[in-house]
Amino acid sequence: MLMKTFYAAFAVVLVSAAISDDPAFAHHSFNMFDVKPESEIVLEGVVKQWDFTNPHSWLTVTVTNPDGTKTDWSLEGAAVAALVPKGITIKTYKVGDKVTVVAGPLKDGRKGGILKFVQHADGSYTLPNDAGNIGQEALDRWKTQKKK
Amino acid sequence: MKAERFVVVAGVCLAVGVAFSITVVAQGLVPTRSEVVVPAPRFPSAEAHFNALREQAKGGTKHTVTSLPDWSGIWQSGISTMSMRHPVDAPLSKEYRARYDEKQRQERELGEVYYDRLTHCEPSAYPRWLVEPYHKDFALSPGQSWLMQEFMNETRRVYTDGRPHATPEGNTWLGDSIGFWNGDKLVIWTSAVKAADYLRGYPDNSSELEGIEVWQRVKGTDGRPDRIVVQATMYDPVGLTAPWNIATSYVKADYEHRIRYWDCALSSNDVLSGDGRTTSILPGEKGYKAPRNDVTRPQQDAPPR
Repeated sequence: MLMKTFYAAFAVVLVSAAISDDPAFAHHSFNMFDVKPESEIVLEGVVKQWDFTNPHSWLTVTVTNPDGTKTDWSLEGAAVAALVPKGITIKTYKVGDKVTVVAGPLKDGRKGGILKFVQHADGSYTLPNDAGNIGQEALDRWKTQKKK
Repeated sequence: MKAERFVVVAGVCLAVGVAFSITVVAQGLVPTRSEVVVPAPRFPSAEAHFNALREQAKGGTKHTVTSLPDWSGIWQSGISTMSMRHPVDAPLSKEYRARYDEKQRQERELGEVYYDRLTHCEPSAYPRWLVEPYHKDFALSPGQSWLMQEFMNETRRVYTDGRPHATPEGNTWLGDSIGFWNGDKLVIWTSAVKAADYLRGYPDNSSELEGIEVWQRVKGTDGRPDRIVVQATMYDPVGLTAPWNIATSYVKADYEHRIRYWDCALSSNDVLSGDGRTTSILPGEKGYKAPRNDVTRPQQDAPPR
């Protein structure tokens, strides 16, 4: 009996120590987004709207298409509660700002997706993403590809 | 018998040591937010567990405002054994195991479960409250303590003035919490919760779940952060076949942050789709809710209705 207790205690302690990864936190499942690296979309446009809200922020970017028409893309980011500690505020994206956005698209083909990172006109980057580390990982890939 | 006891104690010490080493190596000496679970002695119920701890504390410490521990500041939710990698070690009953298996199947299919009840702005509820992300802060007084969470503005009120459980409303999202102090440890017994879940993609709990928690502030030393550690045992005669010991921690934020009202009902555009999965309503689509904000949408700030 005591040995059983020992093994149980040993297992519990080891298992508890093995955890270290942050799971993706948000108030909904991300199954509507394609977050795979190979599916990333790159949008160059201007900020139309920055909704800095809980439970999620949304950045709407107007992209001018090759034929001259314009398309609004709406992209979901993290909660205000997660962005403020990262230094992202209500003033980080202003209407009319030129930005390049890397995102994971909606699987159903509508003009929306999940934010990964934003490159500003001065070349700096911000990471307003939710869903764990997808923003930093995408930015790392982006920088690596640029070096090649 | 004595020798066997020695083996057990030595084994647990060894396990703790190995576990600590694994954590340190895995983290590259970066402070970890995981905590070691202390297996609780087996009790038949949360009530028996609570009474034993209160007896051990000789009825509890009678604090004054000045003798209470300092839990001031903003605390960031850490990682617990309830939200670790799948599969969790919960001793689930057959029905609850099947539900958990289905969630894991969905995660294998899509990388995520189809839907989270929080999408339509349900509270995280107890026990999920323990591991929800973002920030918490705590207001302690001798007779009651308020454990406040940024997410969905959920405040747990823990009565430590000796009053028993009272549930005239029946089961509620955060349940009814009573407790006592044992020195700098806050012991809590929570009951009368609603059937919910431990976290998105993780096991469900029944409305018969009761939790015993022991909270203690642990000063940061040896590279580990200043934190409040919660060791808890979940009793759920429907969802579990045995008590489940878990641990979580809250790390003191080293940045400026002020907790604001958490909006959801008026600002969430994520919904349950017709196929039982999650989707987003985009601007211009039917049902879209333009978040009110007097900086970014000044034209939409209307007087209250």
